[in-house]
Amino acid sequence: MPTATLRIRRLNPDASPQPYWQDFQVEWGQGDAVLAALHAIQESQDGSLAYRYSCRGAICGSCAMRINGQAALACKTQLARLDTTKPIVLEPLLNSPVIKDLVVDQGPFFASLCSVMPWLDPGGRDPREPYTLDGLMGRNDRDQFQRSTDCIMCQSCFSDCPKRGQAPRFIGPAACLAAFKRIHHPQTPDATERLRQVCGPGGIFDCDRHANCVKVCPKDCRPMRAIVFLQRQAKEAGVAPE
Amino acid sequence: MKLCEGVTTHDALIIGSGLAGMAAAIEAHDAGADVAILSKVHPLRSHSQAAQGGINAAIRPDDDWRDHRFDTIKGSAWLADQDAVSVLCREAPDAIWWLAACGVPFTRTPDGLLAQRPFGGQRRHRTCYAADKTGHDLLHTLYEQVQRRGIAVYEEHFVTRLVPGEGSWPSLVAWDVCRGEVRQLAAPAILVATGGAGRVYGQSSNALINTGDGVALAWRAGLPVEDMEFFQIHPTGLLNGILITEGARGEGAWLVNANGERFMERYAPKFMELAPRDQVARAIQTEIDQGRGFPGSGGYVHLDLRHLGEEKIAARLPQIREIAIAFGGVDPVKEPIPVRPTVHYTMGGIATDTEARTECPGVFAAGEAACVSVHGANRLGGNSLLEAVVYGRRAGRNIAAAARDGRPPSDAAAADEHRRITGILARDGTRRPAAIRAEMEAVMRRSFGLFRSKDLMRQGLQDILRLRERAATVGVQDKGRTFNHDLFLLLQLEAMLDVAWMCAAGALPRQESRGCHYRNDFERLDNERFLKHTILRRGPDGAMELSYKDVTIEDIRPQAEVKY
Repeated sequence: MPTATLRIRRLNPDASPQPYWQDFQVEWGQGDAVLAALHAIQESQDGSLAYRYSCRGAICGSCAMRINGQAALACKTQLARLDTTKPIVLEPLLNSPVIKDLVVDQGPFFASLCSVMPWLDPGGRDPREPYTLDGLMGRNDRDQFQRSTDCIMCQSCFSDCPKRGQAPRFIGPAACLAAFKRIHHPQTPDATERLRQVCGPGGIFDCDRHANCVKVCPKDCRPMRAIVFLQRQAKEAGVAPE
Repeated sequence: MKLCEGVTTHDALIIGSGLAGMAAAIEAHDAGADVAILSKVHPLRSHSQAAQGGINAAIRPDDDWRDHRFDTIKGSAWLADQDAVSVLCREAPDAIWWLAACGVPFTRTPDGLLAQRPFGGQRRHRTCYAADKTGHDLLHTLYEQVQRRGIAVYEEHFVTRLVPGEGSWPSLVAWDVCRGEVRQLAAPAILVATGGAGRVYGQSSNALINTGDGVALAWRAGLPVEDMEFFQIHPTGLLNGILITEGARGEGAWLVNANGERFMERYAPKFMELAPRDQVARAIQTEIDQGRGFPGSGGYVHLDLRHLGEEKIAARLPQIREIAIAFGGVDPVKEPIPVRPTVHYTMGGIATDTEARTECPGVFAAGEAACVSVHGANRLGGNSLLEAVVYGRRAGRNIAAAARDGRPPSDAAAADEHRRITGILARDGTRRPAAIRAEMEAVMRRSFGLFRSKDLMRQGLQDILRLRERAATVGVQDKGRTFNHDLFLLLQLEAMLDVAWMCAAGALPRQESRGCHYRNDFERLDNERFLKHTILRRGPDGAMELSYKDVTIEDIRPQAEVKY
């Protein structure tokens, strides 16, 4: 079986506040993902290795980490698609405090999400009333709405957003995407008010259009596209900042 | 590991943050209760979101909840309790509209009505869906509603002990994984909604976290568990176990063997690929075992979607395409998908009545962790999300209404559990749990899989008991407080070994074939002797005590076979 080297950025706060690098060699076969390699290390080399996972099928969003310098799901990243002649570098996500090894504090991410109030409030269209998405919005908005429902909240875009790194007031791509979903939901009672709300400081106009979010999203949700659409919509609705 | 003194109290506590747990939390909150959820993962990581195909409800004019009820009872191989199925099917339409009002983006027809697709074992187009990621949309939508209400969520809190109240409220002990703390929480009502246990088989569609913790907690606390020998094996998993939805067959996909035959003709000529799951799974395994499967990787057959065309696949089954490409290495538009059966669903669970009550006052259970029983010996596709929502909501209303007299218990259980966990951490860590887990998985697949027989099951039971003894001596390498992944795995293994034992203890004496419990040595349904629920409870000395409970029969008379 071929072998690969995983170079992992480690931190054990119980022992030292200093992170360090550690290399592990693993054997791997066709179809093995980075997550399988991590399991192999945890089971037979170092039981203290910490990382999150759940579904191992790219639907739960637990196992995002930085793989060779870019946020990705460990379960979806096949070793066969990486250059295994060089060490595979695994680091915790950016823009969040590290708890241990590859586990980060999800608090800031979910706080940003909550700030856009991503839930549907009552008072909008009755779902029993027949409607189609096509009848309510244009093709691009419909496509982007469906993409916004695909988000698995894996935090990859939040990690790799340079703007969030420079200016933590920016709520980040996933929260903007959640706002898009909320604003375009056919049953939303207060779309314009919600749109106004994400136009303030830290909102959609803070985006610098690096487009890293589009690149790293494992579900092809295209958060920046949602941001661009919302910005245009805000200008048309007259709720954009001067 | 730090021990936190005192007992934190709420009006109601929910263990588990999947669909059942969150539906319950929302209802309990709306009924005025201060409710809190505990989950060993973040709620959005729960396994409910892996559900692809949909959720059943008789909402079309040509459908009737009584027909849904009949299909469910027949599909259950007559083992479902008919009163419980009535609740499930009667409340289904209301559940769908409640979900839609919460914001679930159900797929609609060109006329703007909720779209419904055909699913196995059902005579109508009854399964509502949101593309092929229905569970994902349900889970995310309910989490939004949990956020909206500001419901307290103890994330990454692994509940390691359930304490029935003895003259006081029931309570639980939770390990805060990130902080490395153990604390006790109590409430007049505690709901167990921790989901299933498919990981005991290894080859499973279940998330890696589906280790049956809640069922094990309840059993250890002396509560009766029911029908744990019934593990549904889904016909179509990728070779690594990841699910390919029944919705694919609902949309018209074919099952084809290595000779190019649509072999379901021989097993269920009328329903073909949409016969109930147990029959399709056994058919596939039979094809493989009799040499008509494709060789390699232990054998498989093909699920062929190509004739559906790229447009329909992209519109109705986008996630299936993505999964097949990412995890199966094939694009279903161009090639058939290699599939074989994968363990999918735990029909058994904590015994409850139709109000989600267990035998123990103040302790409730709902969803896959519970056995009410609406699925009997075989669950129909589209009924699991439904059960989670219907019974989750019922449970939520009931935990909110639970009597608040009585008082919290002392924090003795936390101290006790802290001692136990500290003891595990102190064990020699050179012998690790992973080898035991792998052996357990192999034993379960060999002895309690699609085809069972006395000798194999007897051997399996002995093996599981031997593994339990060995597990008591393994330790962890990680001795630290913060996010001790090693300890997490060991505690899950303990739960899985309890569940494996329950499965073995229930399966061996059931001398018949019913639903997913299929025996080569007793190939027929035996309603005379075994139209009964298996009840297991932990005896005072830790033994597995077995008894039986009658099935609730109302108007539908069980037949001698389940024919499609």
